[in-house]
Amino acid sequence: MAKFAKLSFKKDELNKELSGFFKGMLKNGAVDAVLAPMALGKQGVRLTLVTSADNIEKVDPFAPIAAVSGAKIASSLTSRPSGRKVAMVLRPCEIRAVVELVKLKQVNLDDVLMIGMDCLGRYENTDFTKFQEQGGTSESFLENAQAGKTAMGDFDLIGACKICEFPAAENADMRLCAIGSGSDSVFIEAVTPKGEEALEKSGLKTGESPAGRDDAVKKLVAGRNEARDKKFTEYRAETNTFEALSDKLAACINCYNCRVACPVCYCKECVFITDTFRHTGEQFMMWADKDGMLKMPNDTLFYHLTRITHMSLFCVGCGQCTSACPNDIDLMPLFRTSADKTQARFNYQAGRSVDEEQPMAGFKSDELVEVTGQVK
Amino acid sequence: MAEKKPTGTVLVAGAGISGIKAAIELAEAGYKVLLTDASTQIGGILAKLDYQFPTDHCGMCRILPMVGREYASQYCMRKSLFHENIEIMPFTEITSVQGDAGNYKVELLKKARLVDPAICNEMGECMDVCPVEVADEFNHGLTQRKAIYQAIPHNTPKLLLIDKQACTRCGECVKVCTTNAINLDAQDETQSREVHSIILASGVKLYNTTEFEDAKSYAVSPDVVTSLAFERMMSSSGTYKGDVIRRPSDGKPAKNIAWIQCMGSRNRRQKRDYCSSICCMFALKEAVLAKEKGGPDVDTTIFYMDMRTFGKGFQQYRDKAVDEHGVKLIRCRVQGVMRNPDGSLQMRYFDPDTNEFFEKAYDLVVMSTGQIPFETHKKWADLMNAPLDSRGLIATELYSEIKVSGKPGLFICGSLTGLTDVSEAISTGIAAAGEATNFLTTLSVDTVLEEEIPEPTAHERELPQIAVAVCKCGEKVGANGIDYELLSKEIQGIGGVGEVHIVESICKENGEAAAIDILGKTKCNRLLIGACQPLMYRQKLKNVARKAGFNSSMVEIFDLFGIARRGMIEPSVKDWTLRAAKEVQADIQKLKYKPALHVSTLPINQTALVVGGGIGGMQAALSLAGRGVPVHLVEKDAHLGGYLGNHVEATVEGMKPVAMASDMKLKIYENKNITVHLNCEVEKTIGSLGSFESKLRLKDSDERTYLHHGAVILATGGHEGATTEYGYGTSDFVITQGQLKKGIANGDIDVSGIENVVMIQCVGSRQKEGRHYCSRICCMWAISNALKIKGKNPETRIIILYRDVMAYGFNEQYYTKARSAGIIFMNYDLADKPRMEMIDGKPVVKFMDTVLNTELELPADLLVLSTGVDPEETNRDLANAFGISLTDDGFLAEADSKWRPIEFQKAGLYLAGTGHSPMPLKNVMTQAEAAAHKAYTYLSGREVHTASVTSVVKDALCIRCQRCVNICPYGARSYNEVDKCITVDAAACQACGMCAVECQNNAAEVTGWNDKQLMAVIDAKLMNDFFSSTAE
Amino acid sequence: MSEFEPKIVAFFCNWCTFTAADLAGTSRLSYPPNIKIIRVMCSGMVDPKYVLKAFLNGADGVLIGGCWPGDCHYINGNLKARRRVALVTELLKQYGIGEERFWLRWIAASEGNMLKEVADEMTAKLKQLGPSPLQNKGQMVV
Repeated sequence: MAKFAKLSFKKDELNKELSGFFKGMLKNGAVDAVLAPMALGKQGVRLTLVTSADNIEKVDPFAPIAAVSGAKIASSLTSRPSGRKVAMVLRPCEIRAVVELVKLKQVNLDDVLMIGMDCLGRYENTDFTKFQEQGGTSESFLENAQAGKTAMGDFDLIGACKICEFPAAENADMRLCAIGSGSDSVFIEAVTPKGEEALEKSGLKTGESPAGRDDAVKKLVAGRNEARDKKFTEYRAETNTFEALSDKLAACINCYNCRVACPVCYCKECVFITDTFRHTGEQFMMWADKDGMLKMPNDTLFYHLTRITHMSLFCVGCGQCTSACPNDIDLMPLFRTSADKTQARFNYQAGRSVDEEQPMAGFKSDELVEVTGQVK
Repeated sequence: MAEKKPTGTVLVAGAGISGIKAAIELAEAGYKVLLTDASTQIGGILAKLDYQFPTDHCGMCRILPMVGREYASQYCMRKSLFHENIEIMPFTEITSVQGDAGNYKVELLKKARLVDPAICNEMGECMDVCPVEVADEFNHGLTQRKAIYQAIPHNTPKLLLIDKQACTRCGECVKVCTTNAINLDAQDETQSREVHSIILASGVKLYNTTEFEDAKSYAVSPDVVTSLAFERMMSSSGTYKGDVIRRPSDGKPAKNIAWIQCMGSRNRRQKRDYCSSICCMFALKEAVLAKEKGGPDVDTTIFYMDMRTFGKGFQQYRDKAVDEHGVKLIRCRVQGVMRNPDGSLQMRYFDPDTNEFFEKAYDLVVMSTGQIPFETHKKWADLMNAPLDSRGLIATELYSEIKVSGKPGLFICGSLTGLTDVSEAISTGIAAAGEATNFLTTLSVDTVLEEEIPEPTAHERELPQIAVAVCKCGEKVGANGIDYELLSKEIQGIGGVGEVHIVESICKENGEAAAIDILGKTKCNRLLIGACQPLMYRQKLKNVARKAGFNSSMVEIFDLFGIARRGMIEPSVKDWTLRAAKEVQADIQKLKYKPALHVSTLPINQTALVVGGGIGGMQAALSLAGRGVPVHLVEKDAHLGGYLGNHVEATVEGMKPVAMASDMKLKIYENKNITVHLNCEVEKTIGSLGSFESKLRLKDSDERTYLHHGAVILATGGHEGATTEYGYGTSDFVITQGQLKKGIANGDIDVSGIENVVMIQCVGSRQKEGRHYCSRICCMWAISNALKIKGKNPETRIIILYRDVMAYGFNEQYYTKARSAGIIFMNYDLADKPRMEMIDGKPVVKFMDTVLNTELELPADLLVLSTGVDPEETNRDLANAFGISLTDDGFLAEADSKWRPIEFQKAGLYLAGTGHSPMPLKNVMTQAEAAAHKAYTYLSGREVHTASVTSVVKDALCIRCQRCVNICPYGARSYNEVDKCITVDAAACQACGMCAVECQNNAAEVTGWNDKQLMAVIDAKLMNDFFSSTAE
Repeated sequence: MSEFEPKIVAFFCNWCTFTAADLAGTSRLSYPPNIKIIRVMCSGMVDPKYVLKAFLNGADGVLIGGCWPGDCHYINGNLKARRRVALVTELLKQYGIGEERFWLRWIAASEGNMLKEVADEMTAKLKQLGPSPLQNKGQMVV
């Protein structure tokens, strides 16, 4: 039975209350450090690693921004572990990416207290600045977003969030529950024993559970599913040929930012910038000769398709690829529509569970007979 | 400087699977092998089989060397076999053998093929024009062939030959042959060779239904076929091209198929009082495959006497065949076969289930024909002047099925040791190689020295400049040959090509010299040779390249004539030439991006670890120590000997395990090469072939010792199974066969006064719950105990309740002996097991007699239970300690049940004896010898050269996700916790490329098969369209 | 205008399928030259990149030939190949390259006749389907 601690706050004091909670955990040694979004003045809100309780005031978990995927940060912090306990406050999509990275031995959760926050979505970095200029705060965002009011003048949530089916975090030790918890309170939920211990140490009193939450989440997810299916249908219709796809990618300059930003593209260096793809002039000429012309840089479609074969089974739909593209190519639907198919084929869901074997890691002798359609 | 010793050479007579394996093992150990076969090709029976039980798969190629891959062929063995140390002579007979162990002089008769494979361009017109048609023996006369023909469809090179008997010398073939490869007057040639040791692997003749009176009654129709013929009827390269199985008589699909077991075997009247051992599984397999091929409406029935499924995994296979595939098994001898007017075959038989005579018509009847060994044994015995035993078989030493009595240096393997299945053929083959090696080490001979021609340096960093040498293959270029001018013009145009040379028959002395001369002068840094039969001339061409200054890894050879076969039949000169040019283009790309390859050298700790001090372990240890290899022998108990060596005084064959074991113990304690560790268990073993470290735990103590060694042999045994059935443990009158054996031996049990003895076989065995396997030895134990009792008191009534009497091979004779001694055998059914009741203090066995169909009550003064063999419980810990796996039954899981029976998947680990599965003493000895040899192959030198094509790690790119470690089928990749990096065991790696595909950024790569090469090849294949160039 | 000749890149496993190809040859079974054979050591060695590369460079079809399950020289490479083929198929389908253009087939060493059948069948099928939707004439972003 999950334990909840109610955190009531006066207007504009949500983060103050939350910082109290984190301070408690740091002070009472529940953790040695906290990785959480912090308000850094003009620099906006960024994931920050805090080791001193005195620096935790500016914590702002619900800010609708994720400049860099927290999964990547989690990897840097734990793939070569420090041995110190860290509480990580991450979004559901970031945690789902973490789950995949654990299987890929890029994240080590031994010393991690995973705290998942209810996520109503995020804005692009540039838009978030506007959001703040227009007086937007996490409190206002939580309130408006739950009322469906996310559009602000010329900008809105990123596409990925609008079709995200996972506003509530799974695979976390604790959860920061804001959905359906009323406008003057959030709930801190301890999910695992690890979480319960930490919640105790934080000094908060446990008690009532957020009555309206489950329904609110259900309702939200239902809406998101609908939006997702609509988006998928549209996008698939728009890109049902390679020409159409290559038109979509026309602006690509092979900068490979999408894979740098992608939380599950975990290679040290992409194969496309290794020697395998460093061709000689003679080689390029040969290709050009074939059709009399060759668009440069070449291998653009090759790169994106290969990337799909590499990451689509792990894709959590966080939308960082779109955010990272310097030429505003909306890549998210490309990867999500493919991921939707490839994951379904192996009845796999990225981020669902650390115990679920990644499809390419296994095989059975009596499976997928339809592929060859042959029987002895 | 010491004078050079001669190279140890062994003649292996017979190139069936066992002989081939023996040859490969000797070759890998560095000895020269002369591999002969009387038939026109190699492969023996397996050349005809597409699938083998109990896996129903092929996998022959898995017997090729795994560490010394580059010295051997790396392609399907049904094509052919190549090894630098093996000289293969098919169609060759051994006419005389002079001299003795250590210096045999062998006279060989090399039969004339009348077609010279070295000149033949394999276009095959000769076969078209040949007017003679005869029955093709390869398909058992079910198809026709010409007088000039190819013996085995898979063979590459084709190795055409002319059937002298059939040939009319009309000369049509000679006329059409454009290369003068045919010489109708070619004579057989005799050769004389000197060898140090001889292994006989000829196999034995199979029972031929047309030859023997007792079979004629069955051969009433062409639709009565032998089991081997049936294999050809199923094969994709056989009679019906893999299509549904038909009746030879009229080609109608065969829906009802019956197998009749024991054709020619188990027949005292015909003086064939033996079982042919493999026919039961053979028939089961054929019945299963017939159903898989023909669909559910195919009905398969096997008529048998005893279903002898004694081998590893055999019982499971039988149950699967019956339960899942619906194969019918009927225990009875068929009265005979009649041919009905409609061509169907009428069979009359007694059905024990219904106790009635039955008549049924079948479309096809398969006769499970067995061995007829005596002729073959006699022939060899005379030739080798080796002794025959009372049975008329070549006499082997008491405790060996390999060593010929009184003839050091002479060994037998394969079906000469009794008709064997693949795994035993392999085991005996390796063991024979082991014994031969054992013998060679006592002589003053050497192993093959390093290659004479030094390897030139590779200039891989230079801009690739490729010299292309196309061999004109002298006379081979027929009317429909290649336009070499056009070819070289086309090739010249390909990027990266520096020079193109057309050279004359590079395979011949003068051609070779000329080629070396030309290529020696070139400025190019890579070489592509286009020639015919690269499989045949591989080694020769490699040497040509080296002599011309090219590093082997900078050279590719391409099959000029093979192209004609890739889809194009009788192409026009232009088509062929252009096609060749396109193919070359791909090879050029592959060569252009090929990195220099390096053979890595593994240091070898020349010490062996043998786990298990039973007879198998002791034998393995002695065998290795005898060849000067230091051995650590680890035994978990307080004394050596194992179960057999401590409990079994005598076997029915007259072997004395206890006496033998105590003798071995003496030898072991005398041998300074062997260190015995009693009361010890291996806790953990790390490392790889050549350098293992094992942590040893002394029983009930914290004491730990560390052993360093280069290879491991696991010889954990087993022990008599436990039971609570039939009131065991509740009455002194209920005992096990083991207890009885011991009791009789040491006089604790006085059997002289006993009136009634009842024995129950398969207690807790051969059933899904419990031991789901046959323990193989129990039937013989029961029979030998029963005979002992009868010997003491002929009046004693002994009844043995059995399910199937596993008296396979020549054990059949003891079964016969037992019955003539008045021992009563009664069959019971697993579904209706006997029951035991104590009536006034004595056990009474009640059971349903399947023959009389009545409930019988058997009072017993002694009820003896055959409780089978259990594997050691410690196998579980062992599996963890060594990172190996167990079978569901708790036995050690070998790498491959058919092809690698005494190896584990991990290189450097081998197994022997009952740890593998229950087996008789002789088989234990064989496996021990085989395991010892596998280990010796690598422990005999200070270092081992691995293949140059292996997977590598580009550490700078590696993110340590360890997906490659998880995907590698050979455990060749591991994550080094200390250095935090991925390491590759180059000896274990087979370069299959799984890791390379699994790795997303090429941090894992197979040298010589990298993405850059493959993608360049794809480019070349698609670059310029073949059709455009021919469309005119 | 001559009939459309599809280009099929065929990755054949060195052990089983390549042997079948040779057997087809020695048995003098002709099959269309549309099949452009590339020998690989194992069907499990075929990287998805190779398949994409082939299609992007104008192949009308890709055929991977491997040993039947259980026959693989490398124990289970063919089973790994099967999963990868399923993965890549799911991706390509969306853009009009479906199962009919991308085949995995088990062809044992003795199945030279089956190799011919598969080659004929696939060539015929692709002649029917026409050129790959990915006939890149240099204009397209590849």
